[in-house]
Amino acid sequence: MEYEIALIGNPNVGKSTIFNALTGENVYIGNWAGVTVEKKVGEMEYKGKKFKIVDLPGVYSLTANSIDEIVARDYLINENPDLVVNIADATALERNLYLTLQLMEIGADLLLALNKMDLADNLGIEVDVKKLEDILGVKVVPLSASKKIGIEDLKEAILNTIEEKRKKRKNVNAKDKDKYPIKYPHLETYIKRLSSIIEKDEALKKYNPRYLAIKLIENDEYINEIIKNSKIWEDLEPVLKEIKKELSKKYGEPELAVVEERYKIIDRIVKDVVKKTSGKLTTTEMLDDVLTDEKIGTLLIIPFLWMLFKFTFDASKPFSEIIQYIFASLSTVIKTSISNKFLASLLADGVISGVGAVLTFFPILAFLFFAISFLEDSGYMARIPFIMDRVMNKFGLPGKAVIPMVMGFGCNVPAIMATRTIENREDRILTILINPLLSCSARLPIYALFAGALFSKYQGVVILSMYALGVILALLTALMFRRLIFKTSPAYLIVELPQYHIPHLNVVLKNTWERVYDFLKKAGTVIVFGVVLVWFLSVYGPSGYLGDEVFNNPNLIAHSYVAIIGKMLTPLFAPMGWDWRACSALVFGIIAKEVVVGSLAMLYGAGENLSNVIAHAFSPVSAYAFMAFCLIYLPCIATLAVIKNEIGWKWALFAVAYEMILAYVVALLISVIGHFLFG
Amino acid sequence: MDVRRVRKMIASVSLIFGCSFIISGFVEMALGVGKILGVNISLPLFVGDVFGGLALLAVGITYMIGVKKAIYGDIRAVSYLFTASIVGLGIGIVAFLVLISHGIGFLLGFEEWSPLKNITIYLILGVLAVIPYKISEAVRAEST
Repeated sequence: MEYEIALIGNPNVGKSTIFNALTGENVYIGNWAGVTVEKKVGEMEYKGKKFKIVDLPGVYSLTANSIDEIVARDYLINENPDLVVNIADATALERNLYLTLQLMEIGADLLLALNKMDLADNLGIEVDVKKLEDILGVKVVPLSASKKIGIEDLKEAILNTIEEKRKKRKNVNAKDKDKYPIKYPHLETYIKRLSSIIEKDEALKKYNPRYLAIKLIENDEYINEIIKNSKIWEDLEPVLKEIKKELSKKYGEPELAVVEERYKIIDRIVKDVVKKTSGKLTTTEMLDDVLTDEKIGTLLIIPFLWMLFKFTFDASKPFSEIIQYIFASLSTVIKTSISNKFLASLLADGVISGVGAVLTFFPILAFLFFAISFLEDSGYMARIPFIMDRVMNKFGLPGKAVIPMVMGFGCNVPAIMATRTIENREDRILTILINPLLSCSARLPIYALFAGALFSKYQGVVILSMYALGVILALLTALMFRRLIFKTSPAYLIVELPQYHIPHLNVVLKNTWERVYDFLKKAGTVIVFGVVLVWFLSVYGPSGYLGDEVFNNPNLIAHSYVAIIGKMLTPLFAPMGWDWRACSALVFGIIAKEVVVGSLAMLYGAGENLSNVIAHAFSPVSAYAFMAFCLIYLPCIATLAVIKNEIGWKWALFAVAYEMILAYVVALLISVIGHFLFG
Repeated sequence: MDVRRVRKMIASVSLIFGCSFIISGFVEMALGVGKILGVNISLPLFVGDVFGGLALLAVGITYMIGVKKAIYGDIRAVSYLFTASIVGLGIGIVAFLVLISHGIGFLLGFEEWSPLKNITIYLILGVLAVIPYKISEAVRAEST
C-alpha cells in the first residue's frame, strides 16, 4: 500500500459514511490490539495510487482517558500515518475544533473534512472555508457525505495534501515550525521552556516536543511516564513543578489552563469563520432553550417519565391479558390431551405455567422499549446527561453515568457495557458497581405481580416507588463509595447533542425488536431452563418422585428438594414474613430475575391465578419488602459475568457482597418500619 | 412583524394554558392524595393520579415562565410556549392511546368501558395544546 490514511472525528459526524464512500466494499473489520474496540480498515484506489484507510474510534478529544481515546492516541503517535483526515460537523464547529487543535498539537499531517454542509446551509449557518484554511494552516474540504457531495474533492485533496507534504519534507529536515500556526498566548512561554529541554533528548525525537510539553502541563499520565523514563527528567522536573505551581495559582489546576486556552482560540476561530445568515429559530433551538435549562429541563423530566410509565403499563394492558388467556387455555388443553401425567405436568405446570407467567409481561416490556427507543431517536434521551450532570456530580458520579443508568432500566448487561464511554477508570468502576441497583426490565414482572396483587389501587405508585428506591440507593451508594473508596472527583462532561427530529418508525421498531428479542431469547432458554429446574426440584424429593399432585397439595410439595432449600433460608428471612416458597424463588432468581415469577407460579401451584394466591400468601408490608429485596439482591448471572469482564473478579465479588448486605438491611427496615406503622 | 403584538399574544396564550395546566395539576394531585388518605372525591375528567398531577404542573410552570419572558420582552418566550405545547401534546397522545387500549380490552371482554368515562383531563388539555403549538409555529414563521 502506498499511503496510510487515518479517519478521525467526534461521534456522529458521519465518519462511517465517509469511510464507506472512500473504501466501498474493501473493508476488513477486527479489533484493536488488546482491547475490544472495533477496528475498521479499508482500501481506496485513486488516480493509480493505493491508500489504506484506517477508521479510528469516534472521540471528542485525545486526552486518553477512555479506551477509544487511548486507541486513537496510540495509533497517531506510534503509526504516524501519511495523513490524518479530521472529519468535523459543520453545524457544530465549536465542539469539533477541540479535537482538531489536539491533532495539530500532536503534529499530525492534517486535512479537515467539513461534513454536513447541507444541514448547516438549512440551518442558516455559513462557514468561510477559505478563512478557516488560512487560520488553521490546513486544507479544508467542505462536503455532505450523506448526499455524496464533495467525496471526489476529498479524494483529490487527500492525494494532493500527501504529495505536497512529501515534497516539503524533502526540503525541510526538522519539523517545520510554521506547521503550528495556532498558539496559546498565555502558555507559549511555558511550552517553549519545556520544549527546549525535551529537544535535548535524542530518544524523544519521534515525538513532537510541543505536544509533549502541552501534555506535561495537562498532567497526562502516559506522557508523564515517557518523560520520567527519559534522560532529561532530572533537568525538567523542577521546571515543570514551577510551571504547574504558577498555573495552579491562576487557573486552579494546570490542566484547566490548557482547556481554557484551547476554547479561547476555538471561540475566536468560530467568530471569524461562522456566520448565522437566517434569524429563524429552529425546532432544536426552541426545544433546547427549555429542555436543556438546568431548572425547567429537570422539571420537565417528570411529564416525560409519566408518559413513559402510562404508555408502558396502561396502553399495554389488553395485550398482557390476551397472552394470559392464551397460556391458561394452552395449559388446560395440554393437561386434558396428554395421557402421560409426568410429561403433562412437566409441560403444563413447568414450561407453560412458568414461561406463561413471564411472557404475560412481554407486552409491558415491548411498550417500554418502544417508548425508550422513541425518545432516543427523537434526540431527547441524549439531553438527559447534559441536564443531569450537576446533579450527578453531587453524588460523585460523572454526567455520562446517566446513560448507563437509564439503560439499566432496560437491562443491566448492555448498561454496564455502555459505561465504556466513561473515560475515567474510577468513574467507570463506580458507575458499574451501582448499575445493578437500577431496576432492569426483568424485575418489572415481579413488581407488576406484587403491586397488582396487593396494591391494585396504587399499582403505578408502588411500582414507581421501586424504581425510585433503586435510583435513591444507587445515588447514595455512589456517594458513599466515592467518599470511602475512590476519594477523587468525577471527570468533566462532553456529550453529543443531536438535532431533534420526529422519530423514524422503522428505526424505533427495529430497536424495540432487538431489545424484546433478547427477552424472548431469554424466555426460550434461561427461563425455560430455570423453570424446568424448579419443576424437577419440586416434583422430586429425598424420597424420590412425588407426583404431579405436588402443585395442588401443599403437604406433598413440602417434601420436595425445593422445599428443603427454601426451609433452610426461611429462618434468615423470618423477620420479613416470607415462607419457604418465596425464599426458594429468590434462590432461582439468581439464574435470571424473571425466573422469580415463574418459580412462584409453580411453587404455589397457581399458574395464571398467581395474583390471587400471592394476595393471600403475603401481607402488603412483606410483599413490599420482597419487591425491595428482589430489586437489590445479587445481580443475575449474566450481569455478574459482564461486571467480571469489564472490571475484574475483585469488583464483581464486591458487588455481590455489598448488594446482598444492602438488600437484607433494606428489606428488614421495610418490615420493621412497616409493621410498626401498619401493624 | 409587530413585536409588541406578538409579545402580547405569547403572554396571553401562555397565561391561559399555564393556569389551566397548573389548576388541573393541583386538582389531580389533591384528589390523588385524598385517595391515598382514604378520602374519595370524584370529579369528572379527573382520575386522582398524583404523578400525573405533577406532570401537568410541570407543563403549567413552563408556560408561566414563558409569560414572564414575554413580559420582559425576551424573544425566547416563544420557545417556552412551543416546548410546553409539544409536551402537552405528548400527554394528550398518551391519554388517547390509553383510551384506545381500554377500548380494545372492552372489545375482547376483559374490562368494562365507556368512552365518556375514559375522557380525562390529560386528553382534553392535550388536544387543546394544538392551539399554543400552532400559535408558536406562526410566531416562528413570522420571525424569519
